[in-house]
Formats: sequence, C-alpha cells, structure tokens
Amino acid sequence: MQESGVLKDSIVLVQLPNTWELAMLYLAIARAGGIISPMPMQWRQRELKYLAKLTNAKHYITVEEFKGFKHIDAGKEFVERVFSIHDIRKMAKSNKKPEDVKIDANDIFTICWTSGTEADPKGCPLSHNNWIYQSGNLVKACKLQDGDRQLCVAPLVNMTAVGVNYIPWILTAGTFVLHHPFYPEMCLKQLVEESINFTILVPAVLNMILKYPGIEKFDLSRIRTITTGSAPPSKWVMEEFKRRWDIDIINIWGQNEGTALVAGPDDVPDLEKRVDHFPNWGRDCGWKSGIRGIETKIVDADGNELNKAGEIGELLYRGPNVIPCYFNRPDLTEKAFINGFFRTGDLFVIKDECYIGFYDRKKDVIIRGGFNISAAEVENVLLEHPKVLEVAAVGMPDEILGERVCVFVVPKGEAPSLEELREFMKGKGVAIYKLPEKLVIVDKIPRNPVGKILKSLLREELKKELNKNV
Amino acid sequence: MILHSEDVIREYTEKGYWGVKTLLDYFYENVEKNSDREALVDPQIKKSLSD
Repeated sequence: MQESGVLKDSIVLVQLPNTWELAMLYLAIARAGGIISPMPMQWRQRELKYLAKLTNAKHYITVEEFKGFKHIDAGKEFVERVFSIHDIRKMAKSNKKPEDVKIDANDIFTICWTSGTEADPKGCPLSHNNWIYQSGNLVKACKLQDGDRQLCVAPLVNMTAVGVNYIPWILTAGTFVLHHPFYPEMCLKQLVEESINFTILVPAVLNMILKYPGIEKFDLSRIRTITTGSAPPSKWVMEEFKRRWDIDIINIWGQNEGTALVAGPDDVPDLEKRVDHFPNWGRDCGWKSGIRGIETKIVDADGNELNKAGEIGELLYRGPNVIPCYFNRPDLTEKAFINGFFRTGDLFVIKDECYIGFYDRKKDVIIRGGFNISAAEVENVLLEHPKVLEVAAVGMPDEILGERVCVFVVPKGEAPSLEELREFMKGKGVAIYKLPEKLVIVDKIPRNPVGKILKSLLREELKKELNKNV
Repeated sequence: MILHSEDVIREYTEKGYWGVKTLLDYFYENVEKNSDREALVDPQIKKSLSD
C-alpha cells in the first residue's frame, strides 16, 4: 500500500464483495496510514465520480467485473490508481515490513457512506475511539464473549456489518466468517457448520428460518444471540427462537452516523417489550449492560423537549460514538447538529421514564435491503426524462427487503413505461437498487401550500393501489 | 486525520470513554495472545465473487 503511494491520511476507495481481502483492507490501509472508504457493490459511475471528487481519493481497489459491470474500467475514469483484488493478493504475499506511521486513537479509521434527503451520499468519518466505544457498547448489550464466532451476512461496508460484526470481532478476538449476501440455504449451512455464536439478520430472514422446510435438522444451538434491525421483529419470532434453540433476538436501531440503541437481554429483559422498546440510554436508569456516556432528547417540531409517555418526537443524540461531521460537507454538518446533538431524523414515542419506541422516519429516504435511497436523487434524475413532468418517489412496503422504490409520475404527453424510466436511470449510471420497481401514473402530485410533496398521501394511495391488485 | 474538536476529545478522554489504543493495537494483541485461533473464513462462493 505504501509503495503504491498511500500516505498518512490518504483516502482509499474500496469496492469489494464480502471477502477476506475486504476484511483485511480495513486494517492494512490503516496500518499504511490511510483511511478506508468502503462502497457497496451496487454503486456505479455516478456514485464513484462523486466520492472521488469529494474525498480527492487517488486509490480505488475493486474487482475486474461484478454482475456484468466492469468496475476497473469505470474506476480508471475517475481515480488515478486502480487496483484489482488480484493486486491486493500479490501485495499481501510480500513480506516487506511497512514503514512505521504514527496513528492516534482519535484518527479517522473509516469513512462509510449514507444517503439522506439530499441527492448525494454523505461520508460518515468515524475514529478508532468512535468505533471502539460503539462496538464496545454492542459487546456489552449483546453479551458477546471472548473468542465468539460470528457470521457476517450484511455487506461489510457500513454500520450494520462493521459496527455489529467487524469491530466486535477485533474486540473479542473471535472468528469472522464471511457470507456474501444473500443465499438463505448457504447461510443456514454456515450457521451450523461454522458453529456460529452471533450474527445479524433482517426480520424477514428470521421468519424464513423458522418456516424453512426441515429446519429441525439444522442444529442452531451454538448460536447465543441474533441481532436484527430495519423493522421490528415479531413477538412470535422472538419466542420461537428462544423456545427452539434458546437464542435471544436483539433489536437494534442504528445509523451510519454512529447513533445506536440496542435492546439486549440485560436492558430489556421482558421478551414482550423487546419487540418495540429501546432502552433510552440517555436516561440514568441503572442499565444492567453498564452502558454510559450517551445523551438523548426527544423534541417536538419546535425543538421543545418532550417527557410524557405517549408523546412522539425526533430523537436527538450525543455520544462518544457519533461522527464529528459529514466529510467535507460543512453545509450538511451545520444542518445535522444542534448544540452538539445529532438530529437523527427518526421519530420515537416515549414509552415511559426509561424506554422509547421507534415510530417513523422523518427523513425522506427509502430503505431497500438495508441501503438508504434518497427519494430526491431518484426524483432529480427522472425529472430529466422527456416524458416526465412531475415525479415523486416513495417506499413500497416489501416483506423481504423492507421497502422498494415506487414512483408517481405526471406524464408530459405520452406516459412513460416503468422499463423506459429504469433504462433512462441506468443510462445515467445510477445503481440498480435505486431504480423504481413500481410506477403509478397520476394527474397531479399532491403538495402542501408551499409546494412540498405530501408523501404520506402518496403512501396511502399506493396502499390502495396494491390492495386493488390482490 | 483528526476531525473531532479538541474539546470533545478532552471531554470523552477525561470521562474514560476514549483511550489511546487503536484498533490496530487490539488486532496485534489478538494475534499475539490467540495465535492458535481461527481469525477469518472466506465465503463459500468466493470464486464466483472475485475471479
């Protein structure tokens, strides 16, 4: 890495599937003095171009080709030095001792990416200390043990896999077993054959495991805990995992900005409550997990703090796990923080003195299979289409992925087809997972008096539309 | 690259939430203390992912 020009604080873009090379590049790049900036495999020219410009990265590590897309060729357009996974293997075989670089625990370790209401991805820099505190909390809340074996099912590119699997692996000196998402049968096989103790799976996969034909033949008893997120798990799922294999299901709310709450067995012992109660770690409730250091507030639209049970407001969060800023975007950072607290953009309902429940997202994002999609990005690209007069993107509920993109379009003359819109976006280099999977043609888009699109009305309309087809 | 402000670093260091060890330090300690343990296992479909 050093010979290829990685110096102290060089940012290295990495786009690899879940492989040992990706896992070790986090440490190797840090050892060389650089900062890894991992990208989801689904990203295309559009995202790469933006990231290369914003980070001024001179290095990009990827595979030749993946699912028909030639990553190396695309990389050469935007980044000076492009390396393949084969180059990395060659580098790993050299026995040269790297030059010593002084690395501080407050140095940035990673810049992962998230999408909000803005069209472009936002870089979330986190330091060694941020990660050690964050995953230290997870280790406590999930009661991970020294030497635990973990299965990493989520793409190793952001908070889910890095915060829940990768850093805890380093903190517990455990075994890190990789799965490239997602092959259900192989995942089950790995859970058994690799004697896994801990993993994170989405609620839909938990359901699938319970209903899997012949599941009684799989010995899952080595698993102690499975964390989940993105949607609340059902009480039935939690009870069945406990009854069949004595597995605790733990619900996590978290964001790439470092904010997180974990409903572990110590802090939320009651299974019934664990479905929709998160410990409000900002309150001094003598948490059995021992977690301290987080400050929280629930506020109404005017910023007034709420305290009564039943009240709903936005969660503000401050703690040793939170990003210092959005990378190279002081404009976005300014909007995202208030008096040192991060505005999570998520609405929570106050359950009681010590617990809060996730209520709704305030931000206009669609979360498909754990990846945030900015509605504005989809809308902005489609507005350029000659047959589109007005457009609004909303999330369409989906059992497996959580949500998929649905667009409402007011046509300019002849109505476009869904395929036409998808082809148009592909032609603009937009990642496949952001493409709409449903199109509803309408006469007008409902707006409030200042012109803001009323997405809640569109979601209602979409529900009616979907029920009609059943 | 340090992006947190000096005030924040002082506050969390004094409170004991932040220390001086890096993730590399943790990793090297693991290698030293648990060199017999299996560290990393590749996915079963590795070939189709990277060749």
